[in-house]
Amino acid sequence: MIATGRVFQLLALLFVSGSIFYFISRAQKGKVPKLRSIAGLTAIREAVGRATEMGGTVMLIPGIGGLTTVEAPETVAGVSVIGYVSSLAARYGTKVVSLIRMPEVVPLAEETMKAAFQKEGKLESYNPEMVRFVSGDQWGVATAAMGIMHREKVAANIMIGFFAGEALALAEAAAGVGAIQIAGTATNTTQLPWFATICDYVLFGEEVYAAGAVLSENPQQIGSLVGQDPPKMVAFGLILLGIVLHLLSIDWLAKLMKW
Amino acid sequence: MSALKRREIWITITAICGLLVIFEYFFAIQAAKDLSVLIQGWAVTIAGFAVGLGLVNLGVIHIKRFTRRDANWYLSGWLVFVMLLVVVLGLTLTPSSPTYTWIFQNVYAVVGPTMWSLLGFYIASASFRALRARTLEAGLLLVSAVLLMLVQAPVGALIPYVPSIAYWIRDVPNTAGMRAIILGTAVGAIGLGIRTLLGQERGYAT
Repeated sequence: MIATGRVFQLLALLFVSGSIFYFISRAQKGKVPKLRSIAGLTAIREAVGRATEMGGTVMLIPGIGGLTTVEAPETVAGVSVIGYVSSLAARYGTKVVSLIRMPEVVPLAEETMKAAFQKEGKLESYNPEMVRFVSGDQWGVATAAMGIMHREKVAANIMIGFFAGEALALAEAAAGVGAIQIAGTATNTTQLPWFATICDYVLFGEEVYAAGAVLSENPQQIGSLVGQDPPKMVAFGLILLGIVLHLLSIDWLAKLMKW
Repeated sequence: MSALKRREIWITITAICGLLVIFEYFFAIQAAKDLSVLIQGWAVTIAGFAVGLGLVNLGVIHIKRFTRRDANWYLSGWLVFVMLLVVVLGLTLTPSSPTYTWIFQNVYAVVGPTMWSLLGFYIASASFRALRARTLEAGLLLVSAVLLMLVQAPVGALIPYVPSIAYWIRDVPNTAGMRAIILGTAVGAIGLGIRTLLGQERGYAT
């Protein structure tokens, strides 16, 4: 009944899920683990504070991915960051603008930002123009962002989500206006060198997915992050075992993974 | 609270749809596959409707700016005019008409490559900033970058050891690092998926 070649994948998914559920239940019982701090997320407060002092704008781009493709998790993570930054911006009275490429993300970003302002008791400060659908094209987003960076005095640029070729143009344009930059992307690792080169703080890989959970400080969400560690340790062990078995010309592990 | 506003209902629907798609991937059951294809089709259709929402968002913002005479109001007016023109032409002449195709080929199609070509200059300016050997790590980055750039040039292949060292850097440490990130990313995506299905990943403020 299980599709051919997907038995091992299913077992791996069950193991990862089981580990995450176990640590969530531990957190529910009050055993909340301590997480290492992620510099890029800690720096968000600093970035918003700097924009506030300078009377500038905080620009938020949750990537160019949508909600119906494989980039969806990164977009969701980016929207979580929009919520946190909007909350800080509402508290300090900082101007904030979010640029969106995929139209289905617009209502999600609007609702998240509006809820953040409401939570801070500043709903009257929320303006629908803060969330802007600028173009369905990646270069349309890049050109719009570059223009807005100059026209609206962007002092902090926070880009967390899925990015492609426009990542370099966005980061360089923000560097050109002297904005403090926090960027992060998970799946398109080819863009990471640009972010690492140009931006002040970078989130990479799973740090992007962890952003919402870390910022929420919700014990259950933190538990789910810690639950990801045992599967990674097992994966590391399997890699080492695979190297040794390959050197000995033993292929049962490779066959098992294709099971 | 209205029943439709109860978040448990929406979380349950999300969880059922998500689990169904996962179930269909692992189990060869035709009924599950059909249902999964149907749900994914709905998602694409809903996303298609969202294009209209995007147009409304863009249009409302720029019409307001135009009518309020905000800074650069004439650019907002131009944007709305062009947007309406393209929509009307597309609806009346159809996207396959010569007029519509001409606009696409001579305006839109040339803007993309123009932006791509700008990346060459951005790469140069980014590299100039990054390749300052102030620390050991920056020094290693500089040496690796020089070797890999050199090997892309015809002269690089003629210098002894350069191609083999450059390709080793690209294929071994670089690939290992990238794969390590991707491995962590995969586990992180499962974690985020579980939080979403449980209704926990709902944005910071909600």
